[in-house]
Amino acid sequence: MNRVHHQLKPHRRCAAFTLVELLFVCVIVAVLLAVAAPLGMSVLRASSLNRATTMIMDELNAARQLAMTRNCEVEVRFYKIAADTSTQDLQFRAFRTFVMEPGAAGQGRPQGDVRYLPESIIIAADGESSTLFDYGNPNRSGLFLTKETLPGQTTESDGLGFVFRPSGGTNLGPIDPPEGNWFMTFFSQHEPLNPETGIPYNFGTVQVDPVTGRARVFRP
Amino acid sequence: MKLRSSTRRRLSRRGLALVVVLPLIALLTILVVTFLASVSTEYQSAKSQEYSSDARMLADSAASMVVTQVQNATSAPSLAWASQPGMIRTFDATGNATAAYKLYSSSQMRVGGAFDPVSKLAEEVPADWAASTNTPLYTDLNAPVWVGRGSTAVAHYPVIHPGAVARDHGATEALVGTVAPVEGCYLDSTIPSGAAIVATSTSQTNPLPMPVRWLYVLKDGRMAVMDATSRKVTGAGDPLPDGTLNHIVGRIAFWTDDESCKINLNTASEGTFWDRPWTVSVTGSAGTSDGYERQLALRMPAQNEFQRYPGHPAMTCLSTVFPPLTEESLETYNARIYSYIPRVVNGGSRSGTASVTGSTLPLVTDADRLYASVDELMFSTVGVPRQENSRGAFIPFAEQDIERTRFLLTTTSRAPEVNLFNKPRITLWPLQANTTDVNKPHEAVNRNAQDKLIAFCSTLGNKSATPKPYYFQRYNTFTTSAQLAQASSQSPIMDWDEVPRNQELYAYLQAMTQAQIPGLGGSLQGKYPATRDQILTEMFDFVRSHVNTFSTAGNPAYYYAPFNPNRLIPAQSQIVPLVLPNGTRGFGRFPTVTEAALVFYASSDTDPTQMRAVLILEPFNPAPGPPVWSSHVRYTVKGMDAFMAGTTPMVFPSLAGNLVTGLDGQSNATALTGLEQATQYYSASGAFTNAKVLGQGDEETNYTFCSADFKVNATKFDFNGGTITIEIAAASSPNVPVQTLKLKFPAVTGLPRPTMSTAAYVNFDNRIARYANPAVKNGRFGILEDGKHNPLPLITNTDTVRSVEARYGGPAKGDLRVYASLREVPEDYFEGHGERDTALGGKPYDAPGVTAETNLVHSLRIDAQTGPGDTSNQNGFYAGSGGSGDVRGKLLPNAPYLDPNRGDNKRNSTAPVAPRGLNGAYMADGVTLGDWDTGIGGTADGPYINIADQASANKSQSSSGLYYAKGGYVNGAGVVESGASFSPNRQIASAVAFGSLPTGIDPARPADAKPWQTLLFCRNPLGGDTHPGFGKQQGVTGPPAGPPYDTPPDHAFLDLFTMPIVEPYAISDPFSTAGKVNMNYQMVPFAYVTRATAVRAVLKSTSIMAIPASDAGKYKYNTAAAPTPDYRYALNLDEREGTLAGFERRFAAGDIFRSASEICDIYLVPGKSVNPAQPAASVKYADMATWWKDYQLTGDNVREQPYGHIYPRLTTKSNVFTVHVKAQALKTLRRTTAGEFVDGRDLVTSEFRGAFIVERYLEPNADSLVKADGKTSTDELDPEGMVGPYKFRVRSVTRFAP
Repeated sequence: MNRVHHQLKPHRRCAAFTLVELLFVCVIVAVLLAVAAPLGMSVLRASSLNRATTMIMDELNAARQLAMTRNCEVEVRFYKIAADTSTQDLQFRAFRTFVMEPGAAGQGRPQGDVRYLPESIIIAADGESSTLFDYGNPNRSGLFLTKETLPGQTTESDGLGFVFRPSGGTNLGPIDPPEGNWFMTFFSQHEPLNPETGIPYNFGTVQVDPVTGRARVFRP
Repeated sequence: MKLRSSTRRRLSRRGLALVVVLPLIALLTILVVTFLASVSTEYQSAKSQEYSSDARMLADSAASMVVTQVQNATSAPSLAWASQPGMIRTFDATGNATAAYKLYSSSQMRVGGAFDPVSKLAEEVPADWAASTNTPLYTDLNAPVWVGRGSTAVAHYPVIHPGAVARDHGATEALVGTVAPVEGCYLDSTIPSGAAIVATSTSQTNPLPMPVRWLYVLKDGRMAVMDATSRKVTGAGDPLPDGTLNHIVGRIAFWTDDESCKINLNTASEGTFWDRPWTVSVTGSAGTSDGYERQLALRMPAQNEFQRYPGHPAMTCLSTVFPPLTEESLETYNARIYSYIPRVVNGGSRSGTASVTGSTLPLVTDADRLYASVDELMFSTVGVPRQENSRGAFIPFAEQDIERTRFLLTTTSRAPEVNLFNKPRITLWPLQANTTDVNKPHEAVNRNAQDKLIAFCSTLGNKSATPKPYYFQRYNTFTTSAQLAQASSQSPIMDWDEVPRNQELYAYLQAMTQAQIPGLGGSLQGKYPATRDQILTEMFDFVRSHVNTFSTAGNPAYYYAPFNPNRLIPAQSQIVPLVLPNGTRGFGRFPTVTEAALVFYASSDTDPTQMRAVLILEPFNPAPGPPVWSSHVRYTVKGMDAFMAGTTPMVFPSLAGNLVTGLDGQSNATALTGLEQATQYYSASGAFTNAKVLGQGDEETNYTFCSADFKVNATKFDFNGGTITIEIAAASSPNVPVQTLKLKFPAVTGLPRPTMSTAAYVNFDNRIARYANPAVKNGRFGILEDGKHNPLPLITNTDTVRSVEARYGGPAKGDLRVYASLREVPEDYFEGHGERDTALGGKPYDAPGVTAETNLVHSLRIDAQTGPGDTSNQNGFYAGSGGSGDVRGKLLPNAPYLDPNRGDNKRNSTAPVAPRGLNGAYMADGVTLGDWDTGIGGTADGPYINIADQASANKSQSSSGLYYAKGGYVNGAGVVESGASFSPNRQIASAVAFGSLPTGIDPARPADAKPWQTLLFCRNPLGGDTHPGFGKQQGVTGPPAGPPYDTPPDHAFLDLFTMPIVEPYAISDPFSTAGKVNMNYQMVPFAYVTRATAVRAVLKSTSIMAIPASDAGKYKYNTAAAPTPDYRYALNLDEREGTLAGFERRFAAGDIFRSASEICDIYLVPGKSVNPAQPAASVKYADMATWWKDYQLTGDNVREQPYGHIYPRLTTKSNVFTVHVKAQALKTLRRTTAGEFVDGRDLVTSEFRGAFIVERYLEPNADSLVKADGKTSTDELDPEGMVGPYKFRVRSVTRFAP
């Protein structure tokens, strides 16, 4: 008896949940997931936006500091690439810093790798949302076009860039508003758009002071 | 089985741990990697910032190193120092160089002895400096940073922009760009090895490199260059106490510019030349313009028109950097420049184009703040929002305009006002003690704002209990013209006795002149062993007597000399010479006597035997010119009572005193004027003076120098002669003689008895009161009011006259300044006319054997008012003056001066003031032509002391020519001296004003006087290279090229004095002045670049005057038909053949200027005439000595005047330096051998390029005299004392980050 009792105990202990129990738990989990998933996606996207903010700010600050430290011009270039290997949906998703060698014919030397924004984050390419990409506006100067084959790519990517000078300032002009407001806006391209602004409700804007070169970030 | 089962269970539990741990580790790794990845950019940024601050700290160390160099070079009291771009040199008391302190990174920062940057250039910068193998050794501080790429790329240069620099001397193309290069800025192809250094190649593309050595900085702070062969840095790799190796942490390269080699935007503007007019020139009529001298006369600078003040920094010209546009008129251009410059405005004479009168309003200086940096020139300093400055009509300055010129401009230049002994310079502006305790000058009253600022700038220890003023003080001044009985200006001793500080300053000057002069060598006492004190006294007295004697413009108004701004008063502007206990004496503004004539006239129209004698004295004033002076003195004559005509006593009083109360206004601005004043007296109610009458009554209204009537029966009579003593005293102390003269009338036989020819003259009183025509009033200003301005008829052809006159062959050789300077003038200085000094065609005093003596033997003259409306045909010579054929005194031998009364009866035909018979003013050696002054405007040349310019724009209606007429301005007759043109900085700019003070007068030995020898402050004295004023070097014939001297040049005196610039704002601080330009523009080590722009800017506004001897007949005489030419020339500034060739010669000799006074050793080479219609002078620097031989009629003062314009704006010492730095923080890789750095492999982690402006300054609240340690106080007589303590500050740091 004792033995039986002894033998039965572990059996009891090892007994699984009943199907009902499992189903119940699964249903609860499913319900919870169903409720939390959209929220989680939103959090993830927000996290991507945060990361993008940090990446852009770091890049701009580092480029500016580098220009001052090395006493040379430093370019920051932004590239239009696709989200995947296709050539569809080319957006500003990547950027890179170049240290310019002295001399009129001096060439840029890349400083570090190309940095890619988190998936789905893009920088608005229109001149209204991103004056830093308002290339071709006769009232603005300092932006330049670039066309490069990025590492790992086979085709050339279009890009736009501007220069940090050794003083820490930029080559952007003019310096007085309204054209003197220099900024770029980035957001997740999967977010629903605000019909009034044409960009999602959640976005980030980095403003670059053309005189001092300092960057500031604005979030809604 | 059980065992297996339990083992399996254990094993499964172990597996679980692995399963749990591994994912956790993986998770943690992912987290860490993600974190690091996310912060990598931030890390790089932070690291970058750290490197950046490393580079900045290294750059700071470069600035500190320069400060240390400057401090070391300037802190030895016994050594003189001079700075230049890149270097400070020190010199000892023998005049030899002791050390050169490099202010740029070099393998040897201090070099003993002399340093020749040209010969050392290849050593400092090898031709292959730019080779790739030399990159660890040299770096180009001027390497540009390119902004932009490709065809639009623009190079920005940190130090000097090649666009400002010409390809070579004289080239019209700049090294880069299409804009013309800046004046005086070029690559000098004559400098050996310079061409190789600037040669461009694939590795060296900068057309204007400035390579210097890298100094490597080690971990422990040591600095050293890298050895060119071993590529090692001394000390690098050595073990440190902490066990680590002393590795290389960075490197610095620097070069220091001297800010005083640039033009200061806060002080310079665009000068328009102005000087006192020295000749006359044509009056403009329709279609013609006024002659240049007339323009100067009519268009003097208005009050606050600093851009025309001689010697003011605003005379320095920005046009050297920003030349006028082709379509711009002079005035438009100047107005544009003035619009940039703070406190300088257009107006007044409007660049010399408009007349200035007493009603011309003073310029109201703008309230612009000063420029803080050159870059600010882009914008006006006024206006909200800020307005752009324009570089042309509606064309604003562009960035490249500023960038091109940044190397040539400054806002911070400042030079110390210490002498070569590093001690304070004495200020030339006298201030008044006017306090109960003269030892507390800061408590003095009667000081206006400018006076107070001058006092502040000239006082050491302003805040201490015992401030030490370095300015001479007058004991008292007055705010009304009535309180002058106790005036120290009327006392020969009060300003000395009552102001002990004056005595101390005199002793200080004695000490400075006693000592060997650092930088020059020799001592002034050694040069003038017997006359040094006399020279110092003359200087002290000059400052006291001829500067700031009345101040009618400031608040309060005050007077040192008696003065009334509304009308003349007795003794107006008269100053009694200072007499010091050591027997020396100044000149003051006081008459001496150069001739005494005894006039025998027939005193009865009924008795032909009756006659009477009158003594006429001819006074002389060595200080002619404005302001007018109304002498108020008492002449006393003793010894005339012994005079006899044959055996008949002439009955002169034994002592005759004659009180002169002259109001002979205009005439008193000339040298020979007091003669007729002695015959007049002042009536308080009268508009004019009244005539005295002969007699022994009240000496104010009686002319007491007359005998009684006596009779001579024969037609001839003998005169027994005798020695008379003349004493001259100020009227305020009539019994205290200021000067005593002895004159011996020799006996003479057979004098013709005077006859009566014109009834009108029978009564001498009538002659004095014009003559017997009561309807005509007395002569105005003592001069006959006959419409012609002839002298009074004091002598007629029927009289007999014998005079004793200054000898042209005596000890003073006719230099009347010597007469004026002695307290007791010995008998030998005079003689009977022609007695020993050949009469040269005239009749002598007594001609033995000649039976028929001539009746008129004298040389009396009055240099009176003659002006445009006068028709005098006597021109101041009294009847019979000089006999019929005697030679008029000539300063320049054989010069064709007009000889009035001898056929040249022309107005303005001014013969020089010189004793009769003098044919050339020769120095003691009898060969060297001596120094004399050109008279102002139409006044005669003569032996004057060139007083400071106290003229006023307030002028009388009869002196429309202002300076032009002999009197200058006069007040009274409705004209009030309002101070309309008063300005301290216009009156006197530097001690060059002392240039006509005699140096050869030893009061103790008047027989050994060295006449016609004055202080030499120019390179071109009339006497040429034998002038004793030059320095001397053993074994060198003629003036040496430069120091060291065995006997110092006279210009060493200049260094002892200064004039603070207090207008338009405090340009001077205590013992420093902003805006002075360094003569040493040579750049070390970059001798291949010449930057003479700033010196050119100083010289550009100055003209020189050269009057040819052949023009002696017209330089003071002018008619529309035969106009006097313009004698002035702008300077040729060329570095090879013009004025700057003098500078280049010094540099070529491997030397620099030690004292700004050495400008006096440089010829000012003339260029274009100021009159475009006249030809330019065509002469090269090397031929200047010969050229001047054709212009001998130019007086000493006129020769020195341009140096007076230039010297106060020059310096050889700078207090402000810009350190151009390149600093790199380095990181060596592990594989690099310890202690080495391999360019291209090891890392340059950061770089700083920029400029530090460092200033050496005195703290006004704590300055004093200190010993070399900068702490121990001492006094001014201590040879080991110097002005200090000097501190250093970094005024600004500008990062070169275009």
